[in-house]
Amino acid sequence: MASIELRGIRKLYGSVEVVGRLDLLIRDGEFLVLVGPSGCGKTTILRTIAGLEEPTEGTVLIDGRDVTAVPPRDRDVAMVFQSYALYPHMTARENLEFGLRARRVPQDDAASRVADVSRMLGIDALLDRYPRQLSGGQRQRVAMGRAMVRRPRAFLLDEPLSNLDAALRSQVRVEIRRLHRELGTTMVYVTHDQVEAMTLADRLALFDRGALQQIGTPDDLFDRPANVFVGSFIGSPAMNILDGAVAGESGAPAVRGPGFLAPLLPGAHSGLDPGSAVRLGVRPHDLRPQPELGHDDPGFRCAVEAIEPLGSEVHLHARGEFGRITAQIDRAALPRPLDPGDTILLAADPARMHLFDTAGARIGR
Amino acid sequence: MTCPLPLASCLLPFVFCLLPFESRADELVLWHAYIGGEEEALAEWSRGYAAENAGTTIRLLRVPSEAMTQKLASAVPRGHGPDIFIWAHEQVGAWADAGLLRPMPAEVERAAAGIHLRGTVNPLVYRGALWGLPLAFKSVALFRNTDLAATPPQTTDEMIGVAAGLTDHAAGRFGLAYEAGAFYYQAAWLHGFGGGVRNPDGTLGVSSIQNARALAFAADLVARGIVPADADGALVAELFTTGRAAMAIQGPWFLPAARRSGVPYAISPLPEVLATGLPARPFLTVEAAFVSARARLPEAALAAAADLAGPTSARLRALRGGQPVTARAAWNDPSVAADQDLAAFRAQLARSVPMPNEPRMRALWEPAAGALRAVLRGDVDAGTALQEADRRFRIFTRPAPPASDPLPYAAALGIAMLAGAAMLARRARRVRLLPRMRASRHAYLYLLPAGLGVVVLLTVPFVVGAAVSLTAHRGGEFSFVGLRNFVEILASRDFGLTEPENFYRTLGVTVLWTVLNVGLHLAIGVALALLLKDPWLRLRGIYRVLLILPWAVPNYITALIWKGMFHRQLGAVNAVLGWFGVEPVGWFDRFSTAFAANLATNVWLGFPFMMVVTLGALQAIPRDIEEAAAIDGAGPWMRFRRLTLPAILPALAPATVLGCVWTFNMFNVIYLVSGGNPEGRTEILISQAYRWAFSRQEQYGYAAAYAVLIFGILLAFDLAARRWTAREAAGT
Repeated sequence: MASIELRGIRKLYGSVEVVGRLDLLIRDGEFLVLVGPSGCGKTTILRTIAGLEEPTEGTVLIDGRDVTAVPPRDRDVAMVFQSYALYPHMTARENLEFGLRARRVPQDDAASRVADVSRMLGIDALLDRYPRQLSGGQRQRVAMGRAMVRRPRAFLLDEPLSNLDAALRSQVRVEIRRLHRELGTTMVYVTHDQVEAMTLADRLALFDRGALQQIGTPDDLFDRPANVFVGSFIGSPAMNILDGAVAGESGAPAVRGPGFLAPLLPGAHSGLDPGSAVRLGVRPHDLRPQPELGHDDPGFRCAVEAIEPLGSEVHLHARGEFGRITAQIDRAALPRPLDPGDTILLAADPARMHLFDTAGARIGR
Repeated sequence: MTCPLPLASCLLPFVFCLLPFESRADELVLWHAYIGGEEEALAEWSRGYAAENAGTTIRLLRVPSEAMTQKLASAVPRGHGPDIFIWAHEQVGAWADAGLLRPMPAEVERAAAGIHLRGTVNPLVYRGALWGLPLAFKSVALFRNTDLAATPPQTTDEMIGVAAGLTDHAAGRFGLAYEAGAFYYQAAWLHGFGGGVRNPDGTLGVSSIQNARALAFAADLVARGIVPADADGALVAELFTTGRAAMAIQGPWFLPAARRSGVPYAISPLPEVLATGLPARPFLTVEAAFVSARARLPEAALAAAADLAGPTSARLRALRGGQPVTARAAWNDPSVAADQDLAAFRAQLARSVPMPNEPRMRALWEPAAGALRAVLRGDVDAGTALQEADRRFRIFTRPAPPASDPLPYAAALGIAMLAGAAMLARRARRVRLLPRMRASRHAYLYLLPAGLGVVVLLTVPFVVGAAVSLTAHRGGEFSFVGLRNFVEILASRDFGLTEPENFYRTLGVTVLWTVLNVGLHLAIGVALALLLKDPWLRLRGIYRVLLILPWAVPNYITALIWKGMFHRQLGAVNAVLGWFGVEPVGWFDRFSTAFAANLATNVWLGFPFMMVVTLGALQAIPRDIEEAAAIDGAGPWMRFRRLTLPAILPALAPATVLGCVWTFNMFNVIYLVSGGNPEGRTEILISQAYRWAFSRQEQYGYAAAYAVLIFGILLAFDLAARRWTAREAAGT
């Protein structure tokens, strides 16, 4: 088990910067998820920790030791690849044993480790099969097993669930979480899927275009997104972002924009003059339809474009003068059956509003 | 309706092959191999002849000298050949026996003796008839660099004395340069010592005390360092024209180079052998005009040939082409008479021996040259070497085995074919071949051109070759001998296990050759592919192109370059070894070094193929598998052995089989680099077959039997290899 620290890591491919001056500390035993859209540099960071990529600048430390120049095999970390990278001409057992042989683990010890791990992963019946004879989920387990038998100081997982179907994915997710609890080993997990990130992580590090946007617990990122990007990346459906201006009238703080008026908690816009341009973030599930449609009622006035029933809730896509807006509403909370074209007023609790400046950075709290 | 076009275009080349040379009715076609001044003189004569003989034009066609005899042998009997052709007299016997030549009428024969110099007509007589009209005579003579050797040596001792005094190895200078290892040049010493290539009873043979003394004499010249060892024509020319040879034994073909070089030179006849008092008499070759037996206008062809051999043409050829011509009258011309060089060759003519013109002579060169080289190297005493040469000559010229009754063979073949056809028919019915063929007849139509190509280019030659292997060929006649050729080869009664012509020894050399080559191809190819695989390697594209180049260059060119590099005196390899103080190595003097030279050449030729195959296979290995192994802790060797090798094996296995087949039959390298030297010890099966077919009495049947055996061996190998790879594939 180990802590991993990146200091001033920068990676250039030619003149293209894929990771820019990153400082990151992964604590011993922590489950850290690196998340972000494709091309944000998260896989490069993982490969840099593994030693498969050499950083252009900066140092990698594992347990305080500088390993920047240490080859992958001497870093004592294990990696699970997106494609699993199982050795195609070896049986599952040979795949598991490969790393132990390379490290000259005595035969008896190796056999018992393989037995333990395969029992733990439920692959003991598959050990004599070749990878091509295994299903996707089984291969995924073998790949996990290959990493686990080595008892490395840290696991690096590169989108290990992306090749599995949805049902299997959530099942394996739970399993990985359980394994982490049982093993207590540091895990660094890369994904572009925010659901995976939220459900697995002790902490999340969200990247965009090579830069760290925010690091914290899943709740931190969800409740207090550091900027518009974090706000809209975390959460599904994505947060609605509307352009408006601080309205100072009648002493009650609010943001007003074309076709909407959103009251805020007192002090939410401290330091901003009335009339300052801001961006308002509101999550779809915080929006509620209002029964009355009074002319000056606060809320978002809009016309329904589409309704997606999802069982207990509906996703409501609407358009107002401010642009598009999405609301996630309990079916029971719908005042009346809605049809496309109906005009509706949506409102949200002032406490649930997120305020960002025009550059996208969070304001207040 | 789309089928006729591709079909026609595919057949077109074959149709062209079948068309005879189209020539006009009043046109005579003349084949020759002249270049330079000789060709110009010939062209001028043909223009003059056409002008004087309205209605007869002469079309000249230059045929490369290496190809002339082959082309004539195949073209004339089919009526595609020339009406007249010019070549040396030594083929007369073979051509007359094969019916390629029209004999000269008696009146022409009678007149010839009066027209031509003494000794130039007789070489063209075979079995009592005259077969061609002499044009020019060629023999070697002694060239002197007059700055170094002012007067011509009269005796061999005088020559040796002068040569020894002028030899300066430090300056790279030799007293005398000639192709010591070539039997053609050695003939002068044989005759000088009272020997020759005939036994007392007139048959061909070289084993005699006189010849043994002559060989010992030549060996002494080489051993004393007066004469360069294993010099070829190029080296002799190089040495003389750069002033690094005081004397050289060369023929008239060397005149243009000698004149161009600016080295002051004079030519004189070869000296007298002091020990016998006899002059050293070189072989005489008479170039002649022959009239084809299939000439369409025999009278006109004969008239033209006579004119070409006559005095007017001879004067032109002497002056323009620098030819030592045979027509007496031409020598009366003051310009011709004033030519010192021609005069020297004429003087040598009186002291020369015509090369025998009977067909068997061609089988004497190989064993005689082998004996000569062995003696020059000091491997064996001259008497033993010559006896051995005679023994091999007798084997090479042995009569055809007795003819067999073809009936049992025909019956067996018929039964086998019937059985085969019945089996095929049953099989076809079982898999419902006909209905299926009808259903996809368009597909079969598209396959037809390729199928025809395979039949014409592969199946027919194979069947013909297999049929020839059941015959014996002597003097243009094939006789059916059944399986005798195979029995003789496999029983190998004539040659002991240590002799180069022994089938099993040759097979051993071939297997060793194949195993070492393919092993090195694989090792180097795979190693380079691994080095070139890294996508971040700088200039990777350039390295790849450079490393594939050896493969892109035609292999005979590469082979010739490597042969030059292994040259004892001029080669780069010895030059490099010289920097480290290593004495020049005679690469083709010993089996081990000659084999190594062949091996080096073929490794150079062969590794790019394995590299390309490996590179392709390596691209198919996912990068993350190698990364996974790196993280798993596997070192480079373990990654190669456990991951890379199993991954590239499926591609390498067929490439290796293919490489084995190619190398097993790599004729070009053996023929062009070592030429089988020393004495055929580096021959492989395919080059051995070539020797039997083309330098040992045209024993086509015997050679074809070799080819069939090679095919059988490779077929067995391929089947075994396929089984092995199938088993390997099933294992994983």
